[in-house]
Amino acid sequence: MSPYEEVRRARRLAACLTCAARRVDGAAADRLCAARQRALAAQCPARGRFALRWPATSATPLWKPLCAAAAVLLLSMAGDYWGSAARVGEQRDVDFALLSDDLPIDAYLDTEFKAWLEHASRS
Amino acid sequence: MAGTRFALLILIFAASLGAALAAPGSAPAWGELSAAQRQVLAPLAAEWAKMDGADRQTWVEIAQRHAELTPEEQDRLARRMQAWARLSPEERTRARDQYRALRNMPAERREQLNEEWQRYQNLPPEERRRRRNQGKDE
Repeated sequence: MSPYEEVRRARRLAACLTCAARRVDGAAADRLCAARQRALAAQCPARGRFALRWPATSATPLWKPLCAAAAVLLLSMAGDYWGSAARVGEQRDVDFALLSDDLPIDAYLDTEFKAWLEHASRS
Repeated sequence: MAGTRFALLILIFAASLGAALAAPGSAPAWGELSAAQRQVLAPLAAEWAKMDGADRQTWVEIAQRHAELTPEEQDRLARRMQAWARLSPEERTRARDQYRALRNMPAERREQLNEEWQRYQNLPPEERRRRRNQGKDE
């Protein structure tokens, strides 16, 4: 049942009860009145809680995905940063080793030297 | 409340990440180097101003590790600094790649690399060309 239908049905029921209440005698009318007051008293705090909870429930769907997206973005940025820092560190180690190595820099620049080495090792 | 705390946590994380990315001292000027660093990096003094931050930081780290080297290696490093600093980024990448490839060779071949380089250097250009073409044909 949709909320709109539920409200319509509740109104019809309330109208029937109002009409029927006019035919009830004094003692029964008093008991009905007391029951109505108890029901209203019980209903009010629930309505209050609903009213207080409303902004929080409406805010939750907005905050959560935004915060999650920001967290994912920051984590990927941090991952990139640390990844590139590790690459730079490895590159500096190679530079340090290459510059103090017993082979001259020219040997590492000459790509044909490597090809020649491979050929020499095969033959 | 939980959302606000989470957002605050993310802001703190972002601020610390930003601070890490913008860490000071990444590109020290020549005058900001210590006397010991200037002594090691003396061959680069004339080129220091032209270098970018990453290159300067690399040299600073090399200067810090200089004491780990033997006197012979320290001499080699000093002799090669200028040549290395003048290479293009592509040439440096090529040299690093070739260094990694040659250092991954079996130990017994690696020990002979210097002799092999001497042999290769002593080959007449025609012989090198002939061997190169042989290698391509195979």
